[in-house]
Amino acid sequence: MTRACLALLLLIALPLAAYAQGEPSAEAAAPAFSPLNTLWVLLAAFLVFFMQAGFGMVEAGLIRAKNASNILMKNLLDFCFASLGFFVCGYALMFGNPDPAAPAAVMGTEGFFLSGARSGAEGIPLHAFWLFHAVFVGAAATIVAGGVAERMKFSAYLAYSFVISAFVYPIVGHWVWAGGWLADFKFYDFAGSTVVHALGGFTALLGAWMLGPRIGKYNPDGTPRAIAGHNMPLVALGVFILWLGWFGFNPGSTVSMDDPELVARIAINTNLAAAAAAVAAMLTAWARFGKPGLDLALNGALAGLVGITAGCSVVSPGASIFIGVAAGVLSVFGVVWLDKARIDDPVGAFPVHGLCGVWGTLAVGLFGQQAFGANFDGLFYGGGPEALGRQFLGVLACLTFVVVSMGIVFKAIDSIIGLRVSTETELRGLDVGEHGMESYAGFQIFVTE
Amino acid sequence: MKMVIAIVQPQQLPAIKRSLTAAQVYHLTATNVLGTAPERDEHHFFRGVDQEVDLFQKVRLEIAVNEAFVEPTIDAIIEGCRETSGAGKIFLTELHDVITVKTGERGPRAIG
Repeated sequence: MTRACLALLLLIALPLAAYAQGEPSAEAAAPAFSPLNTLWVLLAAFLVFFMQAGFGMVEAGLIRAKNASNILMKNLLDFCFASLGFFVCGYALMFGNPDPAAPAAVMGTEGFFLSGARSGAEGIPLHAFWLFHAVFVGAAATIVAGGVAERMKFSAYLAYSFVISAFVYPIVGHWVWAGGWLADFKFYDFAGSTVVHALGGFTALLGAWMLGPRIGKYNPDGTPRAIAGHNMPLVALGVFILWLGWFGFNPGSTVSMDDPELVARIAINTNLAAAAAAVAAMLTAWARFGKPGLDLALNGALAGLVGITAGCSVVSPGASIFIGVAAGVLSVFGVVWLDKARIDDPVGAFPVHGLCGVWGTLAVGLFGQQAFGANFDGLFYGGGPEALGRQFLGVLACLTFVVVSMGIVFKAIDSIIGLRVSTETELRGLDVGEHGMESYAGFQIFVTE
Repeated sequence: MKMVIAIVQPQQLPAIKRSLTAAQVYHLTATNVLGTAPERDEHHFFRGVDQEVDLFQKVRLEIAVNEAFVEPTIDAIIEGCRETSGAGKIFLTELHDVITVKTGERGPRAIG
Protein backbone atom coordinates (compact mmCIF):
# COMPACT_ATOMS: atom_id res chain seq x y z
CA MET A 1 0.00 0.00 0.00
CA THR A 2 2.85 2.37 0.87
CA ARG A 3 4.37 1.66 -2.53
CA ALA A 4 1.06 2.37 -4.24
CA CYS A 5 0.81 5.70 -2.44
CA LEU A 6 4.33 6.66 -3.50
CA ALA A 7 3.59 5.71 -7.09
CA LEU A 8 0.53 7.94 -6.95
CA LEU A 9 2.58 10.84 -5.64
CA LEU A 10 5.05 10.34 -8.46
CA LEU A 11 2.21 10.32 -10.95
CA ILE A 12 1.14 13.72 -9.70
CA ALA A 13 4.65 15.15 -9.47
CA LEU A 14 5.85 14.10 -12.93
CA PRO A 15 3.45 16.23 -14.94
CA LEU A 16 4.38 19.18 -12.78
CA ALA A 17 8.03 18.70 -13.64
CA ALA A 18 7.12 18.43 -17.31
CA TYR A 19 5.13 21.63 -17.05
CA ALA A 20 7.99 23.42 -15.35
CA GLN A 21 10.24 22.61 -18.30
CA GLY A 22 7.61 23.37 -20.94
CA GLU A 23 7.19 26.57 -22.84
CA PRO A 24 5.21 29.25 -21.08
CA SER A 25 1.78 29.23 -22.70
CA ALA A 26 1.68 31.22 -25.91
CA GLU A 27 -0.22 34.02 -24.31
CA ALA A 28 2.62 36.52 -24.53
CA ALA A 29 1.05 38.62 -27.24
CA ALA A 30 -2.02 38.73 -25.06
CA PRO A 31 -5.28 39.92 -26.56
CA ALA A 32 -7.10 42.63 -24.69
CA PHE A 33 -8.79 41.13 -21.65
CA SER A 34 -12.06 42.38 -20.30
CA PRO A 35 -11.54 42.97 -16.58
CA LEU A 36 -15.29 42.93 -15.90
CA ASN A 37 -15.90 39.66 -17.75
CA THR A 38 -12.84 38.10 -16.16
CA LEU A 39 -14.03 39.15 -12.74
CA TRP A 40 -17.42 37.62 -13.45
CA VAL A 41 -15.94 34.32 -14.62
CA LEU A 42 -13.64 34.09 -11.60
CA LEU A 43 -16.43 34.98 -9.19
CA ALA A 44 -18.67 32.35 -10.78
CA ALA A 45 -15.83 29.81 -10.56
CA PHE A 46 -15.45 30.54 -6.85
CA LEU A 47 -19.20 30.08 -6.33
CA VAL A 48 -19.22 26.79 -8.24
CA PHE A 49 -16.21 25.63 -6.23
CA PHE A 50 -18.25 26.16 -3.07
CA MET A 51 -20.84 23.73 -4.44
CA GLN A 52 -18.31 21.05 -3.55
CA ALA A 53 -19.04 21.89 0.09
CA GLY A 54 -22.75 21.71 -0.67
CA PHE A 55 -22.44 18.25 -2.19
CA GLY A 56 -20.31 17.15 0.76
CA MET A 57 -22.86 18.27 3.34
CA VAL A 58 -25.85 16.85 1.45
CA GLU A 59 -24.19 13.47 0.99
CA ALA A 60 -22.76 13.25 4.51
CA GLY A 61 -26.10 14.19 6.08
CA LEU A 62 -28.13 11.72 4.04
CA ILE A 63 -26.05 8.69 5.01
CA ARG A 64 -25.28 7.07 8.34
CA ALA A 65 -22.86 8.50 10.88
CA LYS A 66 -20.50 5.56 10.51
CA ASN A 67 -19.67 6.53 6.90
CA ALA A 68 -19.58 10.33 7.09
CA SER A 69 -15.81 10.76 7.09
CA ASN A 70 -15.50 8.33 4.19
CA ILE A 71 -17.85 10.26 1.94
CA LEU A 72 -16.20 13.56 2.81
CA MET A 73 -12.83 12.03 1.92
CA LYS A 74 -14.29 11.04 -1.44
CA ASN A 75 -15.75 14.52 -1.82
CA LEU A 76 -12.39 16.15 -1.10
CA LEU A 77 -10.34 13.80 -3.23
CA ASP A 78 -12.58 13.78 -6.28
CA PHE A 79 -12.22 17.54 -6.47
CA CYS A 80 -8.45 17.20 -6.18
CA PHE A 81 -8.36 14.55 -8.89
CA ALA A 82 -10.70 16.61 -11.04
CA SER A 83 -8.32 19.55 -10.76
CA LEU A 84 -5.25 17.48 -11.56
CA GLY A 85 -6.88 15.37 -14.26
CA PHE A 86 -8.35 18.41 -15.97
CA PHE A 87 -4.92 20.04 -15.86
CA VAL A 88 -3.02 17.03 -17.18
CA CYS A 89 -5.23 16.12 -20.12
CA GLY A 90 -8.87 17.04 -19.49
CA TYR A 91 -8.59 20.59 -20.76
CA ALA A 92 -6.66 19.44 -23.82
CA LEU A 93 -9.30 16.86 -24.72
CA MET A 94 -12.10 19.33 -24.14
CA PHE A 95 -10.85 22.63 -25.55
CA GLY A 96 -7.61 21.75 -27.35
CA ASN A 97 -8.76 22.49 -30.89
CA PRO A 98 -5.66 22.91 -33.08
CA ASP A 99 -7.65 25.18 -35.36
CA PRO A 100 -10.19 27.18 -33.32
CA ALA A 101 -11.95 28.20 -36.54
CA ALA A 102 -12.69 24.56 -37.41
CA PRO A 103 -12.97 22.62 -34.15
CA ALA A 104 -12.44 18.86 -34.05
CA ALA A 105 -15.62 16.78 -34.02
CA VAL A 106 -14.75 14.22 -31.36
CA MET A 107 -12.08 15.64 -29.06
CA GLY A 108 -9.33 18.17 -28.70
CA THR A 109 -5.74 17.10 -29.16
CA GLU A 110 -3.42 19.82 -27.86
CA GLY A 111 -2.65 21.77 -24.73
CA PHE A 112 -1.74 18.89 -22.42
CA PHE A 113 -0.55 20.25 -19.05
CA LEU A 114 -1.98 23.55 -20.38
CA SER A 115 1.18 23.89 -22.41
CA GLY A 116 0.27 25.98 -25.44
CA ALA A 117 -3.40 25.89 -24.48
CA ARG A 118 -5.73 28.70 -25.46
CA SER A 119 -8.64 30.22 -23.61
CA GLY A 120 -12.02 29.14 -24.94
CA ALA A 121 -13.63 32.55 -24.53
CA GLU A 122 -12.67 35.90 -25.97
CA GLY A 123 -11.40 38.44 -23.49
CA ILE A 124 -11.01 35.89 -20.70
CA PRO A 125 -7.52 34.73 -19.68
CA LEU A 126 -6.84 31.03 -20.13
CA HIS A 127 -6.38 30.45 -16.42
CA ALA A 128 -9.72 32.01 -15.49
CA PHE A 129 -11.47 30.00 -18.19
CA TRP A 130 -9.68 26.83 -17.07
CA LEU A 131 -10.65 27.34 -13.42
CA PHE A 132 -14.29 27.91 -14.34
CA HIS A 133 -14.41 24.61 -16.22
CA ALA A 134 -12.30 22.70 -13.68
CA VAL A 135 -14.84 23.36 -10.91
CA PHE A 136 -17.56 21.99 -13.23
CA VAL A 137 -15.60 18.77 -13.58
CA GLY A 138 -15.45 18.53 -9.80
CA ALA A 139 -19.22 18.88 -9.59
CA ALA A 140 -19.80 16.12 -12.14
CA ALA A 141 -17.36 13.78 -10.40
CA THR A 142 -18.72 14.30 -6.90
CA ILE A 143 -22.36 13.61 -7.84
CA VAL A 144 -21.41 9.95 -8.11
CA ALA A 145 -20.13 9.72 -4.52
CA GLY A 146 -23.70 9.86 -3.22
CA GLY A 147 -24.99 7.07 -5.43
CA VAL A 148 -22.23 4.66 -4.45
CA ALA A 149 -22.11 5.81 -0.83
CA GLU A 150 -21.60 3.55 2.17
CA ARG A 151 -20.12 0.62 0.24
CA MET A 152 -17.68 1.66 -2.50
CA LYS A 153 -14.01 1.15 -1.73
CA PHE A 154 -12.06 4.37 -1.27
CA SER A 155 -9.18 3.35 -3.55
CA ALA A 156 -11.63 2.29 -6.28
CA TYR A 157 -13.32 5.67 -5.97
CA LEU A 158 -10.01 7.50 -6.44
CA ALA A 159 -9.34 5.58 -9.64
CA TYR A 160 -12.84 6.31 -10.92
CA SER A 161 -12.64 10.03 -10.16
CA PHE A 162 -9.38 10.48 -12.07
CA VAL A 163 -10.69 8.68 -15.16
CA ILE A 164 -14.00 10.55 -15.31
CA SER A 165 -12.37 13.96 -14.96
CA ALA A 166 -9.39 13.35 -17.20
CA PHE A 167 -11.17 11.54 -20.05
CA VAL A 168 -14.93 10.94 -19.96
CA TYR A 169 -16.22 14.36 -18.93
CA PRO A 170 -13.87 16.31 -21.22
CA ILE A 171 -14.91 14.31 -24.28
CA VAL A 172 -18.63 14.89 -23.68
CA GLY A 173 -17.82 18.51 -22.86
CA HIS A 174 -15.98 18.85 -26.17
CA TRP A 175 -18.93 17.51 -28.13
CA VAL A 176 -21.32 20.04 -26.62
CA TRP A 177 -19.30 23.07 -25.56
CA ALA A 178 -16.15 23.23 -27.62
CA GLY A 179 -17.41 23.00 -31.17
CA GLY A 180 -17.71 19.19 -31.28
CA TRP A 181 -20.20 17.29 -33.36
CA LEU A 182 -23.15 17.89 -31.02
CA ALA A 183 -22.53 21.62 -31.15
CA ASP A 184 -22.65 21.36 -34.96
CA PHE A 185 -25.84 19.38 -34.56
CA LYS A 186 -27.30 22.39 -32.68
CA PHE A 187 -27.78 20.36 -29.52
CA TYR A 188 -28.32 22.91 -26.76
CA ASP A 189 -27.18 22.46 -23.17
CA PHE A 190 -26.40 25.89 -21.77
CA ALA A 191 -24.78 25.11 -18.42
CA GLY A 192 -24.74 21.34 -18.20
CA SER A 193 -28.02 19.52 -17.50
CA THR A 194 -26.52 16.80 -19.67
CA VAL A 195 -22.79 17.49 -19.67
CA VAL A 196 -22.51 17.76 -15.88
CA HIS A 197 -25.65 16.42 -14.22
CA ALA A 198 -26.98 13.62 -16.40
CA LEU A 199 -23.38 12.47 -16.85
CA GLY A 200 -22.86 12.32 -13.08
CA GLY A 201 -26.35 10.97 -12.41
CA PHE A 202 -26.13 8.12 -14.88
CA THR A 203 -22.64 7.20 -13.72
CA ALA A 204 -24.05 7.12 -10.17
CA LEU A 205 -26.88 4.86 -11.34
CA LEU A 206 -24.44 2.54 -13.08
CA GLY A 207 -22.16 2.43 -10.02
CA ALA A 208 -25.06 1.83 -7.63
CA TRP A 209 -26.38 -0.96 -9.85
CA MET A 210 -22.98 -2.64 -10.23
CA LEU A 211 -22.23 -2.42 -6.50
CA GLY A 212 -25.60 -3.79 -5.45
CA PRO A 213 -27.65 -2.49 -2.53
CA ARG A 214 -26.26 -1.82 0.93
CA ILE A 215 -26.62 -4.62 3.46
CA GLY A 216 -30.06 -4.26 5.02
CA LYS A 217 -31.57 -2.06 2.30
CA TYR A 218 -34.01 -4.75 1.20
CA ASN A 219 -36.12 -7.22 3.14
CA PRO A 220 -35.90 -10.86 2.09
CA ASP A 221 -39.18 -10.40 0.19
CA GLY A 222 -37.65 -7.57 -1.83
CA THR A 223 -39.47 -4.65 -0.25
CA PRO A 224 -37.21 -1.66 0.43
CA ARG A 225 -36.31 -0.52 3.93
CA ALA A 226 -35.61 3.03 4.97
CA ILE A 227 -32.02 3.73 5.97
CA ALA A 228 -32.39 7.19 7.45
CA GLY A 229 -29.77 9.88 7.01
CA HIS A 230 -28.03 10.87 10.23
CA ASN A 231 -28.07 14.65 10.03
CA MET A 232 -30.84 16.54 8.26
CA PRO A 233 -29.66 20.04 9.27
CA LEU A 234 -26.42 19.25 7.43
CA VAL A 235 -28.43 18.27 4.35
CA ALA A 236 -30.36 21.54 4.50
CA LEU A 237 -27.14 23.54 4.79
CA GLY A 238 -25.75 21.64 1.81
CA VAL A 239 -28.79 22.38 -0.33
CA PHE A 240 -28.63 26.09 0.45
CA ILE A 241 -24.93 26.11 -0.40
CA LEU A 242 -25.67 24.36 -3.70
CA TRP A 243 -28.49 26.78 -4.47
CA LEU A 244 -26.10 29.69 -3.87
CA GLY A 245 -23.41 28.01 -5.95
CA TRP A 246 -25.86 27.57 -8.82
CA PHE A 247 -25.94 31.36 -9.18
CA GLY A 248 -22.39 30.91 -10.38
CA PHE A 249 -23.06 27.71 -12.28
CA ASN A 250 -25.84 29.02 -14.55
CA PRO A 251 -25.41 32.80 -14.79
CA GLY A 252 -21.62 32.33 -14.87
CA SER A 253 -21.90 30.12 -17.94
CA THR A 254 -22.42 33.25 -20.01
CA VAL A 255 -18.66 33.67 -19.43
CA SER A 256 -19.31 37.36 -19.94
CA MET A 257 -21.17 40.33 -18.48
CA ASP A 258 -21.67 41.90 -21.90
CA ASP A 259 -25.39 41.20 -21.77
CA PRO A 260 -26.45 41.99 -18.20
CA GLU A 261 -30.09 41.34 -19.02
CA LEU A 262 -29.27 37.77 -20.05
CA VAL A 263 -27.24 37.12 -16.89
CA ALA A 264 -30.03 38.50 -14.72
CA ARG A 265 -32.70 36.44 -16.49
CA ILE A 266 -30.63 33.28 -16.04
CA ALA A 267 -30.31 34.06 -12.33
CA ILE A 268 -34.04 34.55 -11.84
CA ASN A 269 -34.88 31.48 -13.95
CA THR A 270 -32.50 29.43 -11.82
CA ASN A 271 -34.12 30.68 -8.64
CA LEU A 272 -37.71 30.23 -9.80
CA ALA A 273 -37.13 26.69 -11.01
CA ALA A 274 -35.57 25.67 -7.69
CA ALA A 275 -38.37 27.25 -5.69
CA ALA A 276 -41.13 25.72 -7.83
CA ALA A 277 -39.46 22.32 -7.74
CA ALA A 278 -39.13 22.31 -3.95
CA VAL A 279 -42.82 23.17 -3.61
CA ALA A 280 -43.81 20.53 -6.17
CA ALA A 281 -41.66 17.85 -4.55
CA MET A 282 -43.04 18.72 -1.12
CA LEU A 283 -46.65 18.52 -2.36
CA THR A 284 -46.01 15.27 -4.23
CA ALA A 285 -44.48 13.69 -1.13
CA TRP A 286 -47.26 15.11 1.03
CA ALA A 287 -49.94 13.60 -1.19
CA ARG A 288 -48.17 10.28 -1.55
CA PHE A 289 -46.71 9.67 1.90
CA GLY A 290 -49.06 11.69 4.11
CA LYS A 291 -46.56 14.19 5.46
CA PRO A 292 -44.24 16.78 3.90
CA GLY A 293 -40.73 15.47 4.58
CA LEU A 294 -37.68 17.71 4.62
CA ASP A 295 -35.59 15.13 2.74
CA LEU A 296 -37.65 15.03 -0.44
CA ALA A 297 -38.39 18.77 -0.39
CA LEU A 298 -34.65 19.50 -0.30
CA ASN A 299 -34.01 16.96 -3.04
CA GLY A 300 -36.75 18.69 -5.01
CA ALA A 301 -34.97 22.04 -4.85
CA LEU A 302 -31.86 20.41 -6.31
CA ALA A 303 -33.96 18.70 -8.98
CA GLY A 304 -35.31 22.08 -10.08
CA LEU A 305 -31.80 23.54 -10.25
CA VAL A 306 -30.62 20.62 -12.37
CA GLY A 307 -33.69 20.87 -14.59
CA ILE A 308 -33.27 24.54 -15.42
CA THR A 309 -29.53 24.28 -16.07
CA ALA A 310 -29.79 23.42 -19.77
CA GLY A 311 -32.40 25.96 -20.76
CA CYS A 312 -31.95 28.80 -18.26
CA SER A 313 -30.68 31.15 -21.00
CA VAL A 314 -33.43 30.58 -23.56
CA VAL A 315 -36.67 30.18 -21.60
CA SER A 316 -38.99 32.67 -19.94
CA PRO A 317 -39.29 32.91 -16.15
CA GLY A 318 -42.78 31.44 -16.44
CA ALA A 319 -41.47 28.44 -18.36
CA SER A 320 -38.74 27.93 -15.79
CA ILE A 321 -41.42 27.54 -13.11
CA PHE A 322 -43.03 24.83 -15.19
CA ILE A 323 -39.69 23.10 -15.77
CA GLY A 324 -39.10 23.25 -12.02
CA VAL A 325 -42.50 21.80 -11.12
CA ALA A 326 -42.00 18.85 -13.46
CA ALA A 327 -38.47 18.29 -12.10
CA GLY A 328 -39.72 18.32 -8.50
CA VAL A 329 -42.44 15.75 -9.20
CA LEU A 330 -40.01 13.64 -11.22
CA SER A 331 -37.46 13.60 -8.40
CA VAL A 332 -39.96 12.09 -5.94
CA PHE A 333 -41.18 9.41 -8.34
CA GLY A 334 -37.60 8.69 -9.32
CA VAL A 335 -36.77 7.80 -5.71
CA VAL A 336 -39.79 5.49 -5.47
CA TRP A 337 -38.99 3.88 -8.81
CA LEU A 338 -35.35 3.24 -7.91
CA ASP A 339 -36.37 1.59 -4.64
CA LYS A 340 -38.72 -0.68 -6.58
CA ALA A 341 -36.04 -1.47 -9.15
CA ARG A 342 -33.78 -2.60 -6.28
CA ILE A 343 -31.09 -0.12 -7.13
CA ASP A 344 -29.81 1.46 -3.95
CA ASP A 345 -28.95 5.13 -4.45
CA PRO A 346 -28.55 6.38 -0.85
CA VAL A 347 -28.83 10.12 -1.58
CA GLY A 348 -30.98 10.12 -4.73
CA ALA A 349 -28.18 11.14 -7.08
CA PHE A 350 -29.91 9.54 -10.06
CA PRO A 351 -33.44 10.95 -9.58
CA VAL A 352 -32.05 14.45 -9.05
CA HIS A 353 -29.13 14.63 -11.47
CA GLY A 354 -29.86 11.85 -13.93
CA LEU A 355 -33.61 12.05 -14.48
CA CYS A 356 -33.92 15.81 -14.07
CA GLY A 357 -30.78 16.37 -16.15
CA VAL A 358 -32.46 14.54 -19.02
CA TRP A 359 -35.73 16.39 -18.40
CA GLY A 360 -33.98 19.76 -18.39
CA THR A 361 -32.25 18.94 -21.66
CA LEU A 362 -35.51 17.89 -23.32
CA ALA A 363 -37.30 20.93 -21.87
CA VAL A 364 -35.08 23.15 -24.01
CA GLY A 365 -36.79 21.68 -27.07
CA LEU A 366 -40.20 22.43 -25.55
CA PHE A 367 -39.75 25.87 -24.03
CA GLY A 368 -36.80 27.46 -25.87
CA GLN A 369 -37.60 30.74 -27.63
CA GLN A 370 -35.87 32.77 -30.31
CA ALA A 371 -37.06 35.83 -28.45
CA PHE A 372 -34.60 34.90 -25.68
CA GLY A 373 -31.68 34.18 -27.96
CA ALA A 374 -32.17 30.56 -28.99
CA ASN A 375 -31.63 29.72 -32.65
CA PHE A 376 -34.91 27.78 -32.70
CA ASP A 377 -38.40 27.96 -31.25
CA GLY A 378 -39.45 25.12 -28.97
CA LEU A 379 -42.43 22.86 -29.52
CA PHE A 380 -44.67 24.97 -27.27
CA TYR A 381 -43.78 28.14 -29.16
CA GLY A 382 -44.68 26.99 -32.63
CA GLY A 383 -41.25 25.64 -33.56
CA GLY A 384 -42.26 22.08 -34.32
CA PRO A 385 -40.68 18.95 -32.88
CA GLU A 386 -37.25 19.27 -34.55
CA ALA A 387 -35.57 20.96 -31.58
CA LEU A 388 -37.03 18.39 -29.19
CA GLY A 389 -35.77 15.59 -31.45
CA ARG A 390 -32.29 17.10 -31.53
CA GLN A 391 -32.24 17.41 -27.75
CA PHE A 392 -33.36 13.82 -27.41
CA LEU A 393 -30.72 12.46 -29.80
CA GLY A 394 -28.04 14.61 -28.19
CA VAL A 395 -28.72 13.46 -24.66
CA LEU A 396 -29.03 9.88 -25.89
CA ALA A 397 -25.63 10.06 -27.60
CA CYS A 398 -23.92 11.57 -24.54
CA LEU A 399 -25.42 9.07 -22.12
CA THR A 400 -24.67 6.10 -24.34
CA PHE A 401 -21.03 7.15 -24.40
CA VAL A 402 -20.99 7.77 -20.64
CA VAL A 403 -22.65 4.49 -19.70
CA VAL A 404 -20.51 2.38 -22.03
CA SER A 405 -17.20 4.03 -21.12
CA MET A 406 -17.92 4.15 -17.38
CA GLY A 407 -19.18 0.57 -17.50
CA ILE A 408 -15.79 -0.49 -18.85
CA VAL A 409 -14.01 1.67 -16.27
CA PHE A 410 -16.01 0.27 -13.34
CA LYS A 411 -15.50 -3.29 -14.61
CA ALA A 412 -11.77 -2.72 -14.91
CA ILE A 413 -11.56 -1.20 -11.43
CA ASP A 414 -13.61 -4.08 -10.06
CA SER A 415 -11.22 -6.68 -11.45
CA ILE A 416 -8.06 -4.81 -10.41
CA ILE A 417 -8.92 -3.24 -7.04
CA GLY A 418 -12.46 -4.40 -6.29
CA LEU A 419 -15.39 -1.98 -6.15
CA ARG A 420 -16.94 -2.93 -2.86
CA VAL A 421 -15.61 -3.04 0.70
CA SER A 422 -15.75 -6.23 2.76
CA THR A 423 -18.95 -7.10 4.59
CA GLU A 424 -17.21 -6.53 7.90
CA THR A 425 -16.08 -3.03 6.89
CA GLU A 426 -19.52 -2.19 5.55
CA LEU A 427 -21.21 -3.23 8.79
CA ARG A 428 -18.81 -1.44 11.11
CA GLY A 429 -18.68 1.57 8.84
CA LEU A 430 -16.19 2.80 6.26
CA ASP A 431 -14.89 5.48 8.61
CA VAL A 432 -13.20 2.94 10.87
CA GLY A 433 -12.72 0.27 8.22
CA GLU A 434 -11.17 2.43 5.50
CA HIS A 435 -9.73 5.39 7.36
CA GLY A 436 -9.23 4.20 10.93
CA MET A 437 -11.18 7.06 12.44
CA GLU A 438 -14.64 8.04 13.60
CA SER A 439 -16.66 11.04 12.43
CA TYR A 440 -18.21 11.64 15.81
CA ALA A 441 -15.66 10.45 18.35
CA GLY A 442 -17.02 10.99 21.84
CA PHE A 443 -20.65 10.84 20.75
CA GLN A 444 -22.82 7.80 21.37
CA ILE A 445 -24.34 6.90 18.07
CA PHE A 446 -25.94 3.63 17.06
CA VAL A 447 -23.92 1.80 14.48
CA THR A 448 -26.35 -0.62 12.89
CA GLU A 449 -28.14 -1.26 9.64
CA MET B 1 -38.72 -14.95 35.75
CA LYS B 2 -35.26 -14.15 34.46
CA MET B 3 -33.49 -11.08 33.16
CA VAL B 4 -31.39 -11.84 30.10
CA ILE B 5 -28.63 -9.30 29.62
CA ALA B 6 -26.61 -9.59 26.45
CA ILE B 7 -23.58 -7.54 25.43
CA VAL B 8 -23.21 -7.81 21.64
CA GLN B 9 -21.55 -6.06 18.71
CA PRO B 10 -23.54 -3.18 17.19
CA GLN B 11 -23.59 -4.84 13.78
CA GLN B 12 -25.23 -7.93 15.28
CA LEU B 13 -28.28 -6.03 16.53
CA PRO B 14 -30.45 -6.19 13.38
CA ALA B 15 -30.03 -9.97 13.04
CA ILE B 16 -30.70 -10.49 16.75
CA LYS B 17 -33.88 -8.45 16.53
CA ARG B 18 -35.01 -10.64 13.65
CA SER B 19 -34.27 -13.93 15.41
CA LEU B 20 -35.92 -12.73 18.66
CA THR B 21 -39.05 -11.77 16.75
CA ALA B 22 -39.04 -15.21 15.15
CA ALA B 23 -38.84 -16.73 18.67
CA GLN B 24 -41.84 -14.58 19.68
CA VAL B 25 -39.81 -12.43 22.06
CA TYR B 26 -41.09 -8.95 21.32
CA HIS B 27 -39.89 -6.81 24.21
CA LEU B 28 -36.34 -5.65 24.58
CA THR B 29 -34.33 -2.63 25.60
CA ALA B 30 -31.12 -1.75 23.80
CA THR B 31 -28.49 0.73 24.96
CA ASN B 32 -25.19 1.85 23.55
CA VAL B 33 -22.35 0.90 25.84
CA LEU B 34 -18.58 0.84 25.79
CA GLY B 35 -16.66 -2.23 26.88
CA THR B 36 -13.19 -3.68 26.87
CA ALA B 37 -12.09 -6.48 24.58
CA PRO B 38 -8.56 -7.49 25.50
CA GLU B 39 -8.31 -9.79 22.50
CA ARG B 40 -8.85 -6.93 20.06
CA ASP B 41 -5.91 -4.80 19.05
CA GLU B 42 -7.23 -1.76 17.27
CA HIS B 43 -5.75 1.60 16.45
CA HIS B 44 -7.33 4.74 15.07
CA PHE B 45 -5.45 7.73 13.79
CA PHE B 46 -6.32 11.34 14.39
CA ARG B 47 -4.11 13.91 12.69
CA GLY B 48 -1.42 11.29 12.31
CA VAL B 49 -1.36 10.44 15.99
CA ASP B 50 -1.96 6.85 16.96
CA GLN B 51 -4.93 6.30 19.19
CA GLU B 52 -5.16 2.93 20.86
CA VAL B 53 -8.77 1.87 21.20
CA ASP B 54 -9.34 0.19 24.56
CA LEU B 55 -13.09 0.67 24.90
CA PHE B 56 -15.22 -0.61 22.05
CA GLN B 57 -18.75 0.32 21.07
CA LYS B 58 -21.19 -2.41 21.99
CA VAL B 59 -24.90 -2.80 22.45
CA ARG B 60 -26.44 -3.99 25.71
CA LEU B 61 -29.74 -5.82 25.45
CA GLU B 62 -32.04 -6.31 28.41
CA ILE B 63 -34.85 -8.80 28.01
CA ALA B 64 -37.17 -9.85 30.84
CA VAL B 65 -38.69 -13.29 30.20
CA ASN B 66 -40.80 -15.99 31.83
CA GLU B 67 -39.16 -19.35 32.47
CA ALA B 68 -40.53 -20.95 29.29
CA PHE B 69 -38.84 -18.27 27.18
CA VAL B 70 -35.39 -18.34 28.78
CA GLU B 71 -33.81 -20.92 26.48
CA PRO B 72 -35.53 -19.74 23.26
CA THR B 73 -34.31 -16.19 24.01
CA ILE B 74 -30.73 -17.33 24.57
CA ASP B 75 -30.83 -19.46 21.43
CA ALA B 76 -32.22 -16.59 19.40
CA ILE B 77 -29.48 -14.22 20.56
CA ILE B 78 -26.78 -16.76 19.70
CA GLU B 79 -28.35 -17.43 16.33
CA GLY B 80 -28.54 -13.72 15.54
CA CYS B 81 -24.91 -13.17 16.56
CA ARG B 82 -23.72 -15.92 14.22
CA GLU B 83 -24.78 -13.94 11.13
CA THR B 84 -21.81 -11.63 11.53
CA SER B 85 -18.44 -11.93 13.20
CA GLY B 86 -17.67 -10.63 16.66
CA ALA B 87 -17.79 -11.88 20.24
CA GLY B 88 -20.57 -11.38 22.76
CA LYS B 89 -21.71 -12.36 26.24
CA ILE B 90 -25.06 -13.28 27.75
CA PHE B 91 -25.75 -12.87 31.47
CA LEU B 92 -28.70 -14.51 33.16
CA THR B 93 -30.07 -13.24 36.48
CA GLU B 94 -33.12 -13.87 38.62
CA LEU B 95 -35.88 -11.33 38.36
CA HIS B 96 -37.81 -10.66 41.59
CA ASP B 97 -40.80 -8.91 40.18
CA VAL B 98 -42.16 -7.02 37.18
CA ILE B 99 -44.71 -4.22 37.40
CA THR B 100 -46.59 -2.65 34.48
CA VAL B 101 -46.79 1.06 35.20
CA LYS B 102 -50.12 1.67 33.47
CA THR B 103 -52.13 -1.11 35.11
CA GLY B 104 -50.17 -1.95 38.23
CA GLU B 105 -50.16 -5.60 37.12
CA ARG B 106 -47.36 -7.66 38.69
CA GLY B 107 -45.46 -10.87 38.10
CA PRO B 108 -45.16 -13.14 35.06
CA ARG B 109 -48.29 -11.71 33.41
CA ALA B 110 -46.78 -8.23 33.46
CA ILE B 111 -43.80 -9.29 31.34
CA GLY B 112 -45.91 -8.91 28.21
